[in-house]
Amino acid sequence: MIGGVTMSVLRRRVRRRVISVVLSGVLLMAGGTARGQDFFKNLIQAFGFGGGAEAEAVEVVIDVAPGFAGDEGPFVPQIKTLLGTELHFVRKVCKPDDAQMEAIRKAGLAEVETIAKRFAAAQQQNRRDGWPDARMGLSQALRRKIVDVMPTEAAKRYDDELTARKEARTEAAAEMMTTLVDGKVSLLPKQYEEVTAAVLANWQDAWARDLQLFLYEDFAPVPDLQAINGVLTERQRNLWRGGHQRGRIFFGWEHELGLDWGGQIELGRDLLVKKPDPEAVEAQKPQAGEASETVGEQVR
Amino acid sequence: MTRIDVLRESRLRRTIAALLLALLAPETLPGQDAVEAVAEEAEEALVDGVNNVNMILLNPEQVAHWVFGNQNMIQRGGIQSYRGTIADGLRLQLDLIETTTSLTEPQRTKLELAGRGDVDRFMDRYEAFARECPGGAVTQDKYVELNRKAQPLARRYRAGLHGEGSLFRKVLRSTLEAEQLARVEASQAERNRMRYQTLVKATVAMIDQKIPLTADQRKRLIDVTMSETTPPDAVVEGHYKYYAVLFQMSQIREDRIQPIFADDEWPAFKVLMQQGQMARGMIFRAGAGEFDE
Repeated sequence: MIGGVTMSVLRRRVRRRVISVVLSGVLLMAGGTARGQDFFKNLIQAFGFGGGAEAEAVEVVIDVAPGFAGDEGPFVPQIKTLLGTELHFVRKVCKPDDAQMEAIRKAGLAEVETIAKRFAAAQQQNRRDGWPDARMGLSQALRRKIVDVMPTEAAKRYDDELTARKEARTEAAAEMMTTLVDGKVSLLPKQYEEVTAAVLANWQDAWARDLQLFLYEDFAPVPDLQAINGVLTERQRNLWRGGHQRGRIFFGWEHELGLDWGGQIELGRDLLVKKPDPEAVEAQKPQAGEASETVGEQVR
Repeated sequence: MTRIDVLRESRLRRTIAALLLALLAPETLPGQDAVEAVAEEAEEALVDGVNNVNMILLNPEQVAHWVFGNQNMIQRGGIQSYRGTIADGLRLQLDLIETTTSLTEPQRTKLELAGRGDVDRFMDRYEAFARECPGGAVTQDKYVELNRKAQPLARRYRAGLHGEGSLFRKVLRSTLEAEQLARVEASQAERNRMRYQTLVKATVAMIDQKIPLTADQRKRLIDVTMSETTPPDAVVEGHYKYYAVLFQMSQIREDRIQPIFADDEWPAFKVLMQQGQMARGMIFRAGAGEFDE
């Protein structure tokens, strides 16, 4: 998906570039130096009527824009949004003071850069299965700093909440899987919990990365027959054997992180910038007739 | 590149070609006839290209795929394999009913007949639709039109052939004793509740990505949603399922749901509920019983 978007942008750039070069040529040659058919054929070739010309141009542009695909820059703002949300969670659960929050914030920002680089690497290699779990990465980095700077009790609260969050997500995904099984083979009431337990016994964390997948039954992760074999009746097994999956689907990392649905919500945006030192604010208060200045960093 | 991209690109080329022809017309280029010949050739090639782009190959497997969804199964066993699958599904429905109440032989026979009637009726409709679909290349517009026409059938198939509006349900209601029927309906309601609860949990996990919740907040949100709302009557499909839950949440009295969220979280949650409200038309249109008779 990301690759597709990038290619599309690149193609547009190529097209603009080719068009501008050709139109420049047209204007330069409009004085009468061009000779009709050959020149026009060249134009047609340039616009791809003759086939092949555009494909070559696309390749060229990929080469003349080195670093774009491997640049972590485009990922940073999105991952920062996610960091803001996670810092909001830290504030809610651990209630750090300003100094503690500043240390945690710095750790988070450092991790944003790390994750962005890994994202860029995944994109460069066009690996759809290689995107790191950014939320997990951020929360683990924050957790390490929280253990350093917060009292044990607060760190434990955060730890417990992270565990509970993961369990809730796993439970939701496992039950959604059971619902899909039920939809195909009409589970008996007692089989409901048995199938969920069998799914959990064979759990893979990747199954809970994108819960939206479970809404597309032909593409959702579902348990192997082997995993639920002992729970189903023969008739149900036969139905399940019929096969359901059409393949895998990947909506993209933004989707996986919940960044592209549900509207623009940016909790914790205030936490992404260093809280101004009250004394510095006081000292920098504009005197009469002076222009004011912003204290603190700007959010990118 | 998608077909739409190709078409856009073709239009762009056509526009540019026209522009250049205008720019280069006789005053600037000698040999107008030659230029026109090349331009005509290019235009013809372009029209051919656009036509080719517009044509899509449609075969019976594709038509079956629209309705039944499982390409592998269609390729392995042909469309008739679905009759067997649906028949197995019917027997499982009967098994399910018999976990809540014992059926007499005549009752079971009547229900089986009714269920088979639903299957036949559905397959007749499917086959009539399949006959409407010409084999070979069709225009893009025709392809889209046929695909759209397949959707009610596909929805009906996915929702189950023996659900509300089916002959099976009607016969169930007229054949079972009142006490038997009450048990079956209570069991069905419990199954619906469990499925809804699963969906609510998954929606809350989705909300958790936008507004990270504590375990206590998650539990309270699930509890209030389950106690204050009911599963939507209509079958909601695809990604609208989570929006359907957000919509249901938006119907909960504010004084019951707002206290779950911190002051700065509540406006964010309202944004999510608004998304559910905005999707309302799609949510309930998707589940409308358009196939019912």
